[in-house]
Amino acid sequence: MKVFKKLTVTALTAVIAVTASFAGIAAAADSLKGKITVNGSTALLPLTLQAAKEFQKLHPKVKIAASGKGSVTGPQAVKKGIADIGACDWDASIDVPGFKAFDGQVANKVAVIPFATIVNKNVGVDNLTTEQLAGIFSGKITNWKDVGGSDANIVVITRSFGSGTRVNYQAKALGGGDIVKKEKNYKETGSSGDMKTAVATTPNSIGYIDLVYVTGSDIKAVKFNGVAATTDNVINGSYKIWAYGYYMTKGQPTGATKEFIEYVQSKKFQNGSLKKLKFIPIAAMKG
Amino acid sequence: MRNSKWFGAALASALLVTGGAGSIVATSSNVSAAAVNTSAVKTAKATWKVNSLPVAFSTIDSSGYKLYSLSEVAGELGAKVILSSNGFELNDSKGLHTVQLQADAKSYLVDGVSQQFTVAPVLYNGKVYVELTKLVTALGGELTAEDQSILSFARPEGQFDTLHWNADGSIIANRSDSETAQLLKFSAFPGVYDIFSSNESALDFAVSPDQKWGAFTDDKGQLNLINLSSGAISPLGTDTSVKMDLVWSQDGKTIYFIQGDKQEKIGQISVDTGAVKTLLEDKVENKSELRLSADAKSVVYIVNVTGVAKNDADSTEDSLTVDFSKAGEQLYKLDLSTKDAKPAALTTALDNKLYPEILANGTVAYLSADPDGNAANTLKSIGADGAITNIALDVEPSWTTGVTTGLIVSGTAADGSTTIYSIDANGSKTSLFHTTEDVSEVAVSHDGSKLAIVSDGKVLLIQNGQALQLTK
Repeated sequence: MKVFKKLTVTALTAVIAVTASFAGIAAAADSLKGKITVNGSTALLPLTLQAAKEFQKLHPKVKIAASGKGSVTGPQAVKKGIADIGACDWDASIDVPGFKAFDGQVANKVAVIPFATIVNKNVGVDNLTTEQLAGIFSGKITNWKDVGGSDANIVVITRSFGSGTRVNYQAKALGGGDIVKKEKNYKETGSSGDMKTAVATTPNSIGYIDLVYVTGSDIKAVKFNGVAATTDNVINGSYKIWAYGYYMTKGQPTGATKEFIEYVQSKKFQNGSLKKLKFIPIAAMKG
Repeated sequence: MRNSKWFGAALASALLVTGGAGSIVATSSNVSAAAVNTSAVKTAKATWKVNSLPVAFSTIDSSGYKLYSLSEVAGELGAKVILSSNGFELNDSKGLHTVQLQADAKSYLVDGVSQQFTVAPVLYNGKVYVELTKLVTALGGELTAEDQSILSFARPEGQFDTLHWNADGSIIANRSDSETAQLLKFSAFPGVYDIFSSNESALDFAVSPDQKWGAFTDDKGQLNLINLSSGAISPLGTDTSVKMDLVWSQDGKTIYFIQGDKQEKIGQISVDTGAVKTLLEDKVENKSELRLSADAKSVVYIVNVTGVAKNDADSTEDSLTVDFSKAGEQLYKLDLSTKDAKPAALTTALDNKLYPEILANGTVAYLSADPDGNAANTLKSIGADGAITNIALDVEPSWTTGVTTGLIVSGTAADGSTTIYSIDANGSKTSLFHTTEDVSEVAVSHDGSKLAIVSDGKVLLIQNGQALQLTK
């Protein structure tokens, strides 16, 4: 950007022949170009696409193509060289339960993602502890009456292996406990949308999901250790089931990829569209 | 603002010459001043533009420095001057700053903090003379030596974005480098501004056609209206689903939006009742850039087609493939006047598509950018027959928007300069302004007579052939 040393607007036509209001962003003499590919977390996909739309207004010649297939496919795609950015709900540069670190990759924080335990609307329980959840998802607790509900079998609905939501839920909600596959009253889903649909349509079911998806009257979020799943409780530190979302890159990002990540991390995007999409800004968790 | 006569009279009554030439004592306050050799003092007049109007100040030359009449400068700035036992106390007209100084003392206080003059104020012929720049800035004003201009109130500093006009003719802009959320409302007069809102969610909003209201959603998904005159905020309805890309109807009675966690729906809310209605729920995700025709009978929007990733049930790395070959933005149009109408695809090419607009004649315009970055951006229009043609321009367009008369387009020429055009329905272009500087945002006033732009983070008002820089 050039510096405005003094007013230099010239050749102004005095009267503008329009009658409607408008405002917008104009990308001025922009030279940034390039293609950015993003794959991975389905939870982060709406954020990525919104940021891409805004970034392209600043840099019209930059192409951003994105896809979602679960968090682990983010760093996998970066490792294979088929995506520049791997969107992942955990820091894939370090070991996490079930997944080895992806060596040489850099984790760029882009958002805070709150998760919630959800149950079908017919379930009377409104609070579950870490121990109770670990018991339910490991198969040791199978009836709602054992956790304060009515006498009915618990139907466990979980995300498939490789899901970032599953990794974080195991770590934060189950205290590192396992999710044990069962012959009956058990179902795996491939996306957040499928999880919501499954819990909403399965009486006596329990599952977990990004907090943003907890809408409608067919599912309800239950408290975790007595604390409601709200963004405010995440920010004030009382609600523990949350994680950072990351953009994984092969080494430090460069060029258009670097510029895009910096835009997603910018105060304008973090406090603007990111919050309207019901994510939490990364800066909210500091201090 | 001009109370210099009042100050001059007050000072004259408070001061009494008791000694020889140049020896002055203020009897009522024991304020003393050093002797001034009147034969060595040169008096003169210096003309400055104060709030755009020329003012001739009395000056003296002292030790090679030009000092200005305290009473005259304070009067022009609207500051109140009090003579006390500690010297002179000046208060700016907003009550924000207090300056305490003494003749013949280099030290002075600004809001209780000690500062230093280069040359101590001098009492000469019953008037105190001081350094102009330090007095003006101490009182919260702004001085620009280059063009000899003074503003009573300094323009705010910082980086600004997200420009809007309101019906009062004020410009609302976000100070983006502020630690906390800060929307400022500027009058057309440099230095005259107020803090409009500190609501973080209200930093950007969709402006109603009459520019009296802004609409925005908060982090809970709640839709709110902000009065663009008072800044008062009130919730609209109770729906908390994700709502993006808000668009007002021309009559101001309905707000349309992209709805849902994955932007899979198009909805509307009644401004009168807050009732939300879903208009389209076709399970196609990633809709954005909603536009509404003036007659509210159709909408145009972009679908961001994602790549397709595939892998096996165990999510093995070897099995993972991603096909981005069809990824990109495509334009769709939905007829709202026909029950159960299906969206119609308007485009299939993989160029980057931005700023779609529905013009009065039904034509859809958009900015097309080469995803390979080789070709220049073009402005395209889609006719009723679906044919896509280029709109001829002598600049490379970087931004466009629809107005009732056609389009406003900002573009960059080969020499890097920026021109903003209006293009009417017949394709005839009128240059609205041209600048050698970068323009990052544009907004036009309700009556269409003024533009506001952001350049290098600064807010400028363009009117009557003049550009006024409202921030620094």
